[in-house]
Amino acid sequence: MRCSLLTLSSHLDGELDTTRRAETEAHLVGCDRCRNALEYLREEVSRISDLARVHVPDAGARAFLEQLGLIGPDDDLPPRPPRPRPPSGDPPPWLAGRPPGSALPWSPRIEPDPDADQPVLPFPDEVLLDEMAMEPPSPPVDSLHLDTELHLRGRSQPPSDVSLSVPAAPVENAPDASADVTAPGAADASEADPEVHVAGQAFPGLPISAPAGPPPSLISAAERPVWAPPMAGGHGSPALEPPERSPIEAPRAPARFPPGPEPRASTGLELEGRAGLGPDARVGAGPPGSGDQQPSSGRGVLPEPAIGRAADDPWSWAPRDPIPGDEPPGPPPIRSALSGGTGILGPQGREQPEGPLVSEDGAGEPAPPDRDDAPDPLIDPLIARVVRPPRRVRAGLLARVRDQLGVRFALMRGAGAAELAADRSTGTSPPPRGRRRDPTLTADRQPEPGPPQLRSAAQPAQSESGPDEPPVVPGPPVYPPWFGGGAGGPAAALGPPASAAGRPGSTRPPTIAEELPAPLRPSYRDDRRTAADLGDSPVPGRHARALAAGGRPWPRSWHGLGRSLAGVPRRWTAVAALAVLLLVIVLLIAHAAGGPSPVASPGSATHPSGAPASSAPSPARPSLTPASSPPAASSPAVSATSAPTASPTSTGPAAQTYGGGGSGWTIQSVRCCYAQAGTGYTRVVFELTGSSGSSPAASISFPNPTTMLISFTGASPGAPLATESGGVIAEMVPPTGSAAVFRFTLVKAGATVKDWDYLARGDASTPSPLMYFDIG
Amino acid sequence: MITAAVNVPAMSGEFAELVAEHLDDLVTYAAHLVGDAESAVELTAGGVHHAARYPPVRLQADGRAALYRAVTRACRAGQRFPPRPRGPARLWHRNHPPFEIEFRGGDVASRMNTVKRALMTLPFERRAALLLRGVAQLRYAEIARALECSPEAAARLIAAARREFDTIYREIAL
Repeated sequence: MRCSLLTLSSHLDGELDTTRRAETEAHLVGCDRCRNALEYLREEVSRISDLARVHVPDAGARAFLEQLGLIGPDDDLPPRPPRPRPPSGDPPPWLAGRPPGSALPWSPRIEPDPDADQPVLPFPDEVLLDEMAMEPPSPPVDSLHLDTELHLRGRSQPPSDVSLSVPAAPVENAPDASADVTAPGAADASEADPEVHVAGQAFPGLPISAPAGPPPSLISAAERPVWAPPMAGGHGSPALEPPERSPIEAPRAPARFPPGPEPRASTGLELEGRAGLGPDARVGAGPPGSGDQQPSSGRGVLPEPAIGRAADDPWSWAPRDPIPGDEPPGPPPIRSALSGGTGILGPQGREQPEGPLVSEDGAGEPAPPDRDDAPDPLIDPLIARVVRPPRRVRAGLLARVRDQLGVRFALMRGAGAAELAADRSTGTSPPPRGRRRDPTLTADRQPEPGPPQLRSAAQPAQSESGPDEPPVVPGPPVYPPWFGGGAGGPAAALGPPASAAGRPGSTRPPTIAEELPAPLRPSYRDDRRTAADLGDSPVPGRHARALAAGGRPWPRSWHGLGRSLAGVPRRWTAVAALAVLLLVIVLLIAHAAGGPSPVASPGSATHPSGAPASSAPSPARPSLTPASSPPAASSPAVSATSAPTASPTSTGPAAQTYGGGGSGWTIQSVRCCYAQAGTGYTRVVFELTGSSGSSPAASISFPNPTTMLISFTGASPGAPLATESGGVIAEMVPPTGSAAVFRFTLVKAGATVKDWDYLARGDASTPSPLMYFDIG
Repeated sequence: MITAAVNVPAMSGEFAELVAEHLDDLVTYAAHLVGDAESAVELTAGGVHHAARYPPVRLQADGRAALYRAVTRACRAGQRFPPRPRGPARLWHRNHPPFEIEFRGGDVASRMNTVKRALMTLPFERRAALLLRGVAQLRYAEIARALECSPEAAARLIAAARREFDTIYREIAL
C-alpha cells in the first residue's frame, strides 16, 4: 500500500471498505509519516466541526415553513430533533480529543449524566476542589488498586489524558504506598482502576497518582491541588495527542514514561503527562515519602470567583470557534522536547534548564517553587481561556488584506517549489505555460534552509498572544506531512523530483503531495472559469491563476459587475446614468440648434399692405439658401461678390447679392422691422424712386454673426432716415454718407435672409417700386 | 361541479418534516458556506423552495442529499427567497423584504476567525465539500449527490480541500 492522502482522508471518514481499512490500519502501524498525516487530518476535521452552529427556534422554523408554503398556518410544526447538545463527549481541545480512557488498557466506565436535560458546558467551567472526595479504595492500597475519584462539575466526559495526582485520602489505609499510574506499561502491574469524578461523574481510566497525604479537607488553600491541562501526548500512546489548536507543532513525539520502579508516595498534587517533564518532575510536591505539605507553585490553580461565568450565557455551550489571539497556546512540552528544552517556561518566558524540576542537590527533591502568586505564563492563559468568554473579534480590512497576501504568496511559493522539483529532475523542463517563474527558486540555486512560512518547532503556536508571549526560541522547522515529513530541510521536504516518482527505475514511491497535484476539475459549470483555465493550467487554485494572469480580471458578467457596484446604492446609480444620458441628449440638441437652419421655403408671405407679393415679375429669383450653400452661379441675378463695406474677415455667412444691378435709384424710405405673419420673419422694405430700369443690386454681408450690412449698388440714400428696430433686428442704422449702406444689429446670431423680392409697381400703400428682405 | 387544482405535492408533509429536521444544519452549512448568517437564511429558503418544487422521488433515501444539493446550488447561484432582481433590473426594481425568521447563533457563525478566513479562501466546491463533511456530517455518497459528482470525485475533492485548507490555515494562523 502506498502512502496516500486520499486513503487517509477516506479512512478518517470511515469510508473505506473492510479490506482497504485493514490495509490502511496495517500500514499505519509501520508508517510514521502517515500517522502524522492522520493526526493533521484529525486536527483539520476538528477545526471544521468546531465551527459555530446556528439554531432556529421552533417559532422561527414555523415561520420558515409557513413562508415557504410547506405548512399551513394551522398545521402543527413537524417534529424537530432535540436541541443540539454540546459535544459533551469531547473534551476541550487542550485536553486532547479522544474518548476517555482510549489510551489506557482498561475500559472506561461511563456513568449516566445526572444533568442530562441541562446544557453542559464544553469545558469545566467550575471546578469545585472542595468537593473532591476520595473514596476509600475497595482493594487494599498496597496492591495499588485505588478507586480514587476526583469530582469536578460541569463535564460529562473526562479528559482522557488528564493525569492528576491527588493526595490520597485513605492515607491511613495505605501508608506505605501510593499510586503512580503513569503509563500503560506501568499500569499493568498496578491493576489500578482509578476514577476521576468531575462534578459527581466518575472518570475512570484516568491515571491517578495518589501519594500518601492528608485528606483534601486538611489541605489549605495554598496547598490545594493544581489543575492544569496535560500538555503532551504522554503515556507513550499515539492516541494521546497534544492540543488541537496548535497549527504548527512538532510531530508527535511520544513522551517516554519509564515505568517507575516502585510506586512512590508523594504529597500534594502531581502533574504528569507532560513531555519533557520527567516522571520525577512534580509541581508543588514535596519529597517523596516525606509527607510534607509543600505549597504548590500556583500553576494552574483555578481562580474560583471567575469560574462558571459562562453558565449565564444560554449559548455558552455552543462550540467556540477559535479566535485569533485567543486560542490556547500550543503544547510547549512537545516543542521543547524536540528542541531539547524542558518545556517548562519560567516567569520570564524562558525555558528552564533541562531536567526535571528538582533542586540542585538532586535526589528527587523538587525545586523550590516560585511565589505562589506569581503568574505562570504557561498556565495562566489557559485559565483565562477557560474562565473568559470568547471575545468578539472581527477581521479588519488590514487583516483580510494580510490574509489574502499570505495565501497568494504561499501558493506562489508552492508553485515555485513544484517547478523547482520538475527542473531538478529533468534540467530542461521549461516553465509551465501561463505561469511566472519565481526568480528565487532556480535549479542551480540552493534553496533557503526552510520555507519562511513554516515556523520553527519551538516557536509558540500563536504569535498573536500578546506581549506576554515567551520569546521565540529557534528550532528546527516543522513541515506538514505532505512536505515529506520530519523536521528536515527543504530538500527533505521537497523530496526527490516529482517527475522521478513513478518512473521506471525509480525506487521512490510517489509522495502524498504528488498524488494530488492538480485541482480537481469540477463537473459543474463555473462561469468564472473558462475552458482555458481548466484545460492544462499548471497553477493550482484560482488565486494563483488570477495572480499569474496579472490581477483581477474585469467582471465578465452582469453578476460580477453587480458585485463591483455592490457598495453603491442602485437608485443613485440609475439616477447618475440617466443624468449622463440626458446631458448627452441636451448637448446634441444644443449643437443642432446652434447651426444653420435648414432651407426655408419661400412661403406665401404677403406684404403687410395686402398687395400680392408677386405682382411684378422678378427679374431674378434665386433660390434662397443659407449662407453655407450659396445660390447657383448660373443665376444671372445673383453673383457672389463681396459687399463694399463688408469686412473680408467677417465671421458671419458669406455675402450675397440680390437684385438686377440697375442704377439711378434713390432710396426714398425704409419700412423696417415688422414681423411677417405666418413665418415670423422680420421684413425690411426699401421704397425706391428715380429709375424705371432693373432693380438695384443689394449686397448683404455679415461682419459678425449679429451684424448685417445691406449695401445698395446703383442706389443712393434719399431723405434722412430714422433708426428703427423690431423683430430680430435690434437696431437699424441708416446710412450717413452717400453710400447706401444700412447696418442692422441682430438680436440673435445666425439670422440670415430668408426671402426677398422686388416689386416694380409697389404695393397698396405706395406705387413706387419696392425691394424687401425677410430676415430670420 | 367545481374542480380546484392545488399545487401541493403529495409528500409535502414528509418534506416539511425533512426540512424541519435538518433546518439547523442547513442554515449552519449555508452560513459557513457564504460567510453570512443573514444571507444564509435567505439562501436556505431559496434552496428549500426549489427542492420543494422538485422533490426527490425517494424522499427518505435522498431527501437530505437533495436538500443540501438545493442549498448548495442556491448559495452558488445566489438564489434567494424571496428572489432578488438580477442583472440591470436590480437598478430600478425595489428589493423584496428579506426573509426574516428568528434564529440564534448567527452572530457567532458570522464572526470571522482564523478557521473561517481560511475557509473563505477556498474555492466554492472545496469549501462546500469540507463543510458537508465536517458540519453536516454527510457521507461521501450524499456529498456526491449534493455536489453532483461521483463518490470518488467527492472523496478526492474532500482530500484536496483538506490539504489546501491546511496550507492556507497555517499561512493565516502564523
